Amino acid sequence: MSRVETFQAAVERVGGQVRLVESLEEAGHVLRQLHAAARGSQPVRWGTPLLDTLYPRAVPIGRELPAERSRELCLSAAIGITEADWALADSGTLVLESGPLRSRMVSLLPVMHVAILPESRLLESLAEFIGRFVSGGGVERLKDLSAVTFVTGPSRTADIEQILTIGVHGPQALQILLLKNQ
Amino acid sequence: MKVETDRFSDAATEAIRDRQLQDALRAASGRFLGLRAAAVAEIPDWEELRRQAREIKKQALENLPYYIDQLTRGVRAAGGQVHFAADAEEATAIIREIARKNRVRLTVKSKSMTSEEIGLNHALGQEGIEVLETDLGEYIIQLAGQTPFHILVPALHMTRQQVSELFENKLGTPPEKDITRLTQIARRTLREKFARADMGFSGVNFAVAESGTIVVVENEGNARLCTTLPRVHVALMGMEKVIPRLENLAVFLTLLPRSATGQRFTSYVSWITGPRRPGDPDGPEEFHLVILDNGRSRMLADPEMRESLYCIRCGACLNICPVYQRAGGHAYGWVYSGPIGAIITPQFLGIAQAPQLPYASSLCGACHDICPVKIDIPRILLKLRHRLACRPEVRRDETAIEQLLVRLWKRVAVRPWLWRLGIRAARIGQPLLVRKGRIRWAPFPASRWTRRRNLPPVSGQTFSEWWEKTQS
Repeated sequence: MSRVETFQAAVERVGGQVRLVESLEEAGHVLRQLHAAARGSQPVRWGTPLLDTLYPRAVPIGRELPAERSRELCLSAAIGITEADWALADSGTLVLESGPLRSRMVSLLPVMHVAILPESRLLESLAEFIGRFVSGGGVERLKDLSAVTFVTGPSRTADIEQILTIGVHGPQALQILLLKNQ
Repeated sequence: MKVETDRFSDAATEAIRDRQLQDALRAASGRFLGLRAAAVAEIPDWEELRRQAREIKKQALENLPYYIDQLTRGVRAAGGQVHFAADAEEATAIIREIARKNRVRLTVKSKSMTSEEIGLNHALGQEGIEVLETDLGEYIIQLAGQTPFHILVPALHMTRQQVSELFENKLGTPPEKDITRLTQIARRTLREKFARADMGFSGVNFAVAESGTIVVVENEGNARLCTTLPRVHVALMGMEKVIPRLENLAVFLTLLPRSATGQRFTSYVSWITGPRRPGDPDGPEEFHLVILDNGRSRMLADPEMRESLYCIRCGACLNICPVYQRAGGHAYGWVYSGPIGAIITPQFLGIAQAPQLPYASSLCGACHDICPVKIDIPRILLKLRHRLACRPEVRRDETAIEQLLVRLWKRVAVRPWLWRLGIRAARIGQPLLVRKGRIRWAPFPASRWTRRRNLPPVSGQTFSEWWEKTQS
């Protein structure tokens, strides 16, 4: 199995979905479809250049907005769009770093989390990620990184009668748009 | 939390009679063990990882002051604050003070056994602060006024019917049979609280000294909410949670989810280093790490007991323990149950407070086999029993009887003729006592033994008799 196939299988195993897209245009098209199908107010997103280009209609969550307003927007949004800074194929995990353009709430409060993942950021495993992170000066970088979040599928619990329920406090659905050959 | 650590036998007996509880325990551990086995099978070098994890823990604990110091400097460099608490009282005082300074009225909490250890909810409640558990299982038992039943599944002992009734009583919601809809009730109720809370509280699964980073592992998303939305984040850790380097997480984040719930990764793992940074759009403005001793330094100083601190709280030992399987978590009487609870509760509270717990075991060793950091729990149980034997005033009756029996046995064991006589007498007398192949009751002092254990009958032929016969 190719790395992409491994990743896709691992994500589906935990209740998420991966869509392979060939271009930014196609990704934008998928996002419009998801937006149309979702109920709830305007989608929210990270304010990164990639998403500025890809889906300007969604509200970028950043310091320019008052905190109350950002929170309200994220609470009522049906979709939160982020990039994935890295991904781990064997477990189907996305790695998201916090930062000025990268609100934590966007991947946490809306009902659906959509993550844009360029294929070049897909790694084999946690071990590979940590190796690269550390040798790339990650320990120093953590001084400025208040949160690195590893997301594997939508939120879940088996607290009642050990029966698995998808969608508890975090998002209830996870869609990953994998940008092939980017 | 009410401490009832010296009635394990009675509590276990009650639990064994509870059919619903037994079914729930059996189903839960069967499920966990199955999932764990599948997840472990995916890792060809699982044994090597266990070895490495144990080495890392050993290194961390044998140099604890150094790593705690490094951790502290890292958190402070990231803009966080670090507080040291010698005991539960100091810890709650520190957290109350943080709450007071920030005029906290509502706190949302994600799961933390350590917070139960210090009685945090009660302490904050006394200040008039509303404390809300947000992990679904913890939320349920908080509403029910109970204590957690299992490290990972606090409400293991409750049925959906009971949860529905609980929500009807406490939240005024209509009866609900569907588990997804029950979960949604909790999601809606708690979501509003997350947004309003002044303070978010979390535990810590690992604290990386090298970078001043705490790691929080979860599935529901409530810990992320607690550590992102409120203005103040307080994280409480036992001091043994520190690990030296970030790269150590490659080992621990592989071992923990697989050992605990059979997952490759939990839904969310957060690496948190300090509060929000100047440009960040969200995240807490203040980050406080409270590092707790509460008896851990005493355990650390004791070379025979030190490895008790290696525990990463995965819960695997609970799932495999035949005693926990029947007794359940409440029988252990305090925060920590199962094999790990049996060894650390007597150490935290003093063996005189929990004299039955080192005996809550058949020493089968399954816990040792399954532990990701290879804690030799049976060895520690025996050490605790030894210490109890050296303090006859604690288990006065049992110790007196044990000493009597050992003296008797010593007399007989060095006199082969008396031994053989005893066997013959037992063979003649025992048919009166043997029921369905076991001796289930014998007269005093043996009755103290047979109250909890069945004895096999003396065999029809001893080995020596058989040997003599076959040799001739």
